[in-house]
Amino acid sequence: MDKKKILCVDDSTIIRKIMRASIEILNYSLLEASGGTEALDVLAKERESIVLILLDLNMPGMSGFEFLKTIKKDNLYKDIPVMMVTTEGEKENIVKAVQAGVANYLLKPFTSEELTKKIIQCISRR
Amino acid sequence: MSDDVMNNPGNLALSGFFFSNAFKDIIRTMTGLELMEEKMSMEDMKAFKAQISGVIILSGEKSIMISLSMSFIAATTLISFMIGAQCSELSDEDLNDGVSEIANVVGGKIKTKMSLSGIHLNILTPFTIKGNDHYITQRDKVLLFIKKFHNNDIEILAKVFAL
Repeated sequence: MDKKKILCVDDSTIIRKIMRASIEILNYSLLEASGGTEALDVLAKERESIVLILLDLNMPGMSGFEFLKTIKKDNLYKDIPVMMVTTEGEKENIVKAVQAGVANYLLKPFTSEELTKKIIQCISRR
Repeated sequence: MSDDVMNNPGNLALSGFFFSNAFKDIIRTMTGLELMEEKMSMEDMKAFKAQISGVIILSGEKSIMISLSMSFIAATTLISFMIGAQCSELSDEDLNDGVSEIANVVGGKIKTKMSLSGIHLNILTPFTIKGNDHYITQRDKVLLFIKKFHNNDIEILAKVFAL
């Protein structure tokens, strides 16, 4: 059986590499997208196997909030939990993200332990 | 300029003490490395020649630019610790992306801190500057903060400019 997958949407290749190590320890596969538009393409192809989306907020092109708004309006994708992983720690952004439907919020920088703990929380709530 | 308080013409509500602790905490979390601050004269700091710098700009009612400058060896060591890879496995893109990501995280921390004082800034896309013996300066020379951090062979020169 194919492994379940986690989609990481972040324009930083280094952040995606850091996430890959933690995600593989949890026995999930990592799908990567460097921005919102690319992530929508990945979602269209891999919807059935994706159990969580890790989403950066500030990205060139489609921002994290625009991507979130797009998928939450789409019946095919709206139930996939989304965890924001961002440098944006302002209360206003956290409130806005929660109101937009994120399941969890993780501030950069994070440790591997913090990331895996939050991923488990998100997936086990489904 | 005092070691602990930024030269602060724009009332940016940001102390050198906060910046130093935030930066050391970010490096500790991202790499596991403990950085120490090093006192230097202004002349020594001007003599610091970098090979790669990560730069982030925060813009808004007050705007600042943060630069983190270091050698390629220092950057390679930091990034290898960040992703758990051997130095020899790292590509140029890894170095560029890693150094700019550190600047991005530092910028995010400063943005959050300043929002607590009612100053709301936008964080722009980080970038890197590469080249042997480069030195970052700014036309009007509104340098708010400058400090060197080190851990064994790693030396990082952090600067905060008012724009």
